[in-house]
Amino acid sequence: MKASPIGSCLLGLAAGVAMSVSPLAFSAASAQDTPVRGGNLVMLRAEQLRTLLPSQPTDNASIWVIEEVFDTLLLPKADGTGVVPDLATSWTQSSNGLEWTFHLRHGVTFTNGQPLTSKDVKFSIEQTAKPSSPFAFIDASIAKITTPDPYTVVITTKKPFAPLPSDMAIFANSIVPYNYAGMKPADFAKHPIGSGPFMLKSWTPGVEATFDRNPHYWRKGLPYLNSITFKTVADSNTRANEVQGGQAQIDEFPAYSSISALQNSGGSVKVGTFPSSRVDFLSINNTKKPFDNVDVRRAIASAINKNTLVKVVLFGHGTPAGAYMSPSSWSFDKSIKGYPYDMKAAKAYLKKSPVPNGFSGTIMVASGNSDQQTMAQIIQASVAKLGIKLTIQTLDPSAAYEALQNGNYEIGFGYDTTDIVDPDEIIRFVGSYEGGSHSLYSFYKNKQIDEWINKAAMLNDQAARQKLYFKVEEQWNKDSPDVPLFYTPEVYAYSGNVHGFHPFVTGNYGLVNVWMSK
Amino acid sequence: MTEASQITERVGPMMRTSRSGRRRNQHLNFGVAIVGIVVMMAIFAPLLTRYSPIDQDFSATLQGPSWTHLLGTDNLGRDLWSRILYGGRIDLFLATVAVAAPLVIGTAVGALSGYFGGWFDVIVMRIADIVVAFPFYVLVISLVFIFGNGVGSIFAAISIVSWVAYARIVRAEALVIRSTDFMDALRVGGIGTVRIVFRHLVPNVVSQAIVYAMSDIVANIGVIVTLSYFGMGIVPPTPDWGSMMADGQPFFVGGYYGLMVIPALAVIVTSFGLSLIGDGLANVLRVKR
Repeated sequence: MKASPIGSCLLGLAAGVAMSVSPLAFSAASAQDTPVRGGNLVMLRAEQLRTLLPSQPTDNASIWVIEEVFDTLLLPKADGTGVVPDLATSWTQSSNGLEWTFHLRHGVTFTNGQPLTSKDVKFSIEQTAKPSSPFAFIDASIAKITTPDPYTVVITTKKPFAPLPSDMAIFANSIVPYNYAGMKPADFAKHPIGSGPFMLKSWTPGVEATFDRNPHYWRKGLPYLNSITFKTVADSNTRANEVQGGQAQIDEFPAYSSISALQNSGGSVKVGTFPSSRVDFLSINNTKKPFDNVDVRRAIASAINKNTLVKVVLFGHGTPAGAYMSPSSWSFDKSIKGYPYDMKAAKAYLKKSPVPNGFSGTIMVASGNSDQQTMAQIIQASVAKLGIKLTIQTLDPSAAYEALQNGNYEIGFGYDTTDIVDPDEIIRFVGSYEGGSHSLYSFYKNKQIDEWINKAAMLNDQAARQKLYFKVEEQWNKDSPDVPLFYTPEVYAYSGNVHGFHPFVTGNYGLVNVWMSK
Repeated sequence: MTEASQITERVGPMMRTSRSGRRRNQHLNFGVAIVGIVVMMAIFAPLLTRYSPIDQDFSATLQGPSWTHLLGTDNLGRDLWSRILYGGRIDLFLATVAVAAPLVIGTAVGALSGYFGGWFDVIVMRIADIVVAFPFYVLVISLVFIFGNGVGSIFAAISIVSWVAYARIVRAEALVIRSTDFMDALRVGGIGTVRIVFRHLVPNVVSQAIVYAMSDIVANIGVIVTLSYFGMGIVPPTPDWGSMMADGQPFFVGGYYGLMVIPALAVIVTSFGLSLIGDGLANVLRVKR
């Protein structure tokens, strides 16, 4: 009782100060915007980190961590409109268009103290160019790499290749020490040595991985955070609760149904919706009967009401998809509308196919992925009207991922996000058999498409390239190997004391610029 | 034991026995009432709701309770009350049916094993040991994984694992009974072995197995719901309490608590009822002895 008059008095005083001495208030506000060093950030993610070997992964859960540990020659701009210097301070293309010269930054060291030189760059890119690497297609244009001196790298391409600078900004071309600093690749994947802002401290596969600030990082004063921890938490409720309770700071993938509740909670949690290149697909295995038949695939595509999916699954946080490229790319052909929802058309397509009265099949979903479960049930109910009986098969997320990669499934769910700012990666990843995921797990092969893609990559003129990409998208749409479902932004829920968090269009977390207020 | 000692034994605790006996009967009655209501609801599901449990209605998703939808709707616009009723149908039916096969197999094997002994007994009991050596859930989940999801494989997996308990219970009883005077009398009387085992031995040893079967139904509901919760059990769109809980879980943070809580309550109430029956039955039988 005694304390209350004093308290109210202090309050009155504080209000008076704030009103009368505005410069003070102003400096207090700007202090809020000044980054503070320190803090341990915990990010909760639905999927687990699989490998830290840059040449290996195709899953974002690994890719986006690798980008925090390793540097690349160039870096995508956050908005995806180009590339900026990273390890390379400048680069030039020779007049015949074949030779690209990169000048490396001086004074960069790996976390083991060894300086980063052209030898490391040559080794790193050659690892990713090996056929065993899923991203070999990114480097397939490269004829040879020479190192005239320790800080100069010359990359010679077989033909003029416009996307090369963008390709030097992809995680797969991250720079690792020459010969993995004497380690076997499998050991290096567990004990990586990079030059990026963070370095591995501890890793319990499937559970969590902690990374400390790299004290030798070449951007002075960065990163702000002492450490980052990526924790695998499959349940979206637990993720949301931990961020609300302050045990974690960032929830990578809040359930769409919870977004409005989180936004209206009025508390310490912010929901960030960031422009993304993400496109979600129904993946169809074109090698399995009867899905090898184009009319069967068209029938399925026509039987899917994408507006319903956006409404029921995304709660409106997305748009129905047409072309397979993302609207965030200049290669996106907005005239392609895909197969509009039309059960009559779907029946007509099926009539033309070898299975006019339907058939039985399986649709694979990853356990714990409720969005896939929901979509599978909607699609199951819809194609049932065509006589197609789909059984939902639930697999452990890792097993489901492997089944997709090995073509050990009939229908499943996949998605892509681009890792580079040039369309070259995704136009191949989803359109070409040689594009790393066998046309997004459809195992679709089309020589004509490959030809157009390769031709486009040789051109420097964006308008001419765009024309070819439009042709690719149109042909792909005709053959309908997979069904593009919707375009979504990346959604994160994070606590109010996290600042500077702004993932790129390419998905990079960019945690180097993130700081936490007390 | 003389008659006198029997009487003195009874006089002391008689009041307590009868009172607690009544209470035990109350358990039984209460359990029967709960399970009875649940079973009735499952049987007469089509009369208690006008909605199909699998029809989707995207114009009425995630609705709260109302007169049109008693318990509201899920994210696909399916009526939750219908799904609870039909889900109970499949879960209860499967749990009960999955007790029948192990009960029959386990009783037969256990009776033969206990009656004959010898090498047959050794082999059967070693097989039983192998099955028991694995944790129950691990074995059932592995089997369902091998057989594939669905009603048939859950039934098969449960049967393969849970006959052992019945075999052991019955064998222990059979071991005692086979050396009793009336068994000797039957053998001396020239009655065939098969007839002795199935007409005279089994009726004397099966009651324990039946009591166990009641609690086994509860366990089976647990197994079925758990498997379905993990996406390994009953395959959508067939409604089932476990997959309903899993489907409803992501909506918890968004404030749609019913989607998860209501099926969970259905499981809890049903299991509670069945446990009461099991308890009550066991006690009634014990008092009779």
